[in-house]
Amino acid sequence: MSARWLFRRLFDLVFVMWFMATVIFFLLRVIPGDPVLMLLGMDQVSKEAVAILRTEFGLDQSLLSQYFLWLANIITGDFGVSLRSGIPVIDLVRSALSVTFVLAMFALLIGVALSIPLGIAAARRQGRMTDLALTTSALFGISTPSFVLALLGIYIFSVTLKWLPVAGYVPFLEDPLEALRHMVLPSIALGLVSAGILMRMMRRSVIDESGEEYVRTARAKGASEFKVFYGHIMRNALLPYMTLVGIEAGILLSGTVITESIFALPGLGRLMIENILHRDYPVVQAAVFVITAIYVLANFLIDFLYTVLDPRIKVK
Amino acid sequence: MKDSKSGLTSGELQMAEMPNLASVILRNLFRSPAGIFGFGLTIIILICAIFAPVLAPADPLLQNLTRATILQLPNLDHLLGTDPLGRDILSRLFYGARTSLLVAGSSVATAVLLGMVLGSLAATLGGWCDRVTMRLMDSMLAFPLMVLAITISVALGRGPVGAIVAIAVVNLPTFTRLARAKTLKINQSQFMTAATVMGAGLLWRFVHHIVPNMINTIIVQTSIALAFAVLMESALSFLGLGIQPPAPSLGFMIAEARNFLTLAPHVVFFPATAIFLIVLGLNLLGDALSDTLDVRKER
Repeated sequence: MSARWLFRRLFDLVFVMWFMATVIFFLLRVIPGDPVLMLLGMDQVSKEAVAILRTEFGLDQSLLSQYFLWLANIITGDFGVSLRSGIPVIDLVRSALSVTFVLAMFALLIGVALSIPLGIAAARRQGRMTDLALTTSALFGISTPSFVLALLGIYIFSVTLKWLPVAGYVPFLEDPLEALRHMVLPSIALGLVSAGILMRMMRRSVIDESGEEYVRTARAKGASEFKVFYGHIMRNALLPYMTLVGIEAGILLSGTVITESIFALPGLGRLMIENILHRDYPVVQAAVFVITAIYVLANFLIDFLYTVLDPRIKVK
Repeated sequence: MKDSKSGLTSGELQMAEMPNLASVILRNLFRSPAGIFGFGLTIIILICAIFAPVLAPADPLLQNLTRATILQLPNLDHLLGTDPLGRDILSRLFYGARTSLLVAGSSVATAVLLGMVLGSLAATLGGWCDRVTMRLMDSMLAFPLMVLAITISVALGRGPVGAIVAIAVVNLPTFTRLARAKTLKINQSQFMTAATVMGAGLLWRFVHHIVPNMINTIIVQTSIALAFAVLMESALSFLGLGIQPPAPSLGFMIAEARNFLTLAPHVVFFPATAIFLIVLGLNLLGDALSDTLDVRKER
């Protein structure tokens, strides 16, 4: 890995960010509906009031100057204020981000914790009953929408057994135990799907690596089965797995929209959906931009880590 | 195109070498239980969807709003019970599967066709055409899929068209990249050089050489993309962005019924199972196909 490679990747990163910012801006302007009319109520508004608000929000300026203002704002990190509540967008996004982040990390933790041992177990007993049972459950996991898992979880653990709250959010600092109890179901609903995807990958790469020449060499040289497995097979099998974990982290951070809306968690996805409905452009733009930026950054980080972890990868 | 005599010869040669794709697929598919199950499940669901008007025991939109007729448990009149508006759930499932598959199918078909054309054009023409196309596809992949799909379907207005375009756009980069990679390889082969020397045009080469040689990989990716598209369609309609009520869609059926989870869990359970079965069938089919067509080794 050279400085030149890093420079090029950083350039790509900036390009993608600009592209995203542009697409987000123009896509949102296509959405029918006027934010000012939405805010004031559809009828019985005086033209003056509408005009005043338009000027205040900068909506009277041309689309192009609004666009450049948006780009300038991103660079300075100032996303303006919410049209509806007047709260600085950056504050809304920051508090939502922390909720989404905690949720995604819990889910990822569940996914990883389940997929590594189960993936290994399936691969080591390839073709036998254990393997069949595990791969079938993984397939079930990836074939179920997370909102179905969420509703199933609510029905079993909240409605029937009454062990866990149905929905809602408690800040961690206020009451750590309650906060955790509110996070259990959402993170399991998200995490099980990831577990299925990750487990299939773990199994596949352990099986693939086990068939490699170097494994036979190691065995021929008399290495213990433990050494062969953890020293040789796992070391290599973890590489593709780690890439997928990174991708999954990006997907989870950006894919909590539905889970958040089911469990009434005030995260980024819910911020986005709610404000799309109210045409609160600054908030939606910022939320979508932040979600996308996290996703892009996560992928960038994986690429970077991958070249560090695997010296065989020659960067063009 | 028929007057291009040389091209016809090479095209026939090419076709003669290829065994009948459909029969190869079917023969190998039935070797594994997963393949049989996935194929069978998908066929059954397809039949339910296509023949929904014949199979459905009742009008899926017919409401019956009395205390006795809403949220009924499965009974002889309504085999799967009734929903919060007293509509027959089984009939709604048939029609819901139909819309689900229609949206997923047409969006994936769009992505496949457009992706194949764009990808092979990019690979064949090269230069700035290649660079611009692939940069665009990379940038599209940089978006989180769900967020991109939601934004597009909101921008285009709620309804089937918005959902179809959103899901097609989200799937397009994968197919374009796949088609490009395959075409680059195919273009280097000798039969391609021969065809070009004999004067086969761009369209001829595409139809008679490029498409038959990458169809295996595309078929496998299509079944995976279909499963994903059904999931995405159900998620969009769950959020109220897909098919608009009162038209039945599996995702929105769940969204409508979720407030009655305590009272009547079966109203949520049945459409959820329907989505699960559709996606499971397609996933099994995809797994079996990728083993059969041996695509994994090629990648």
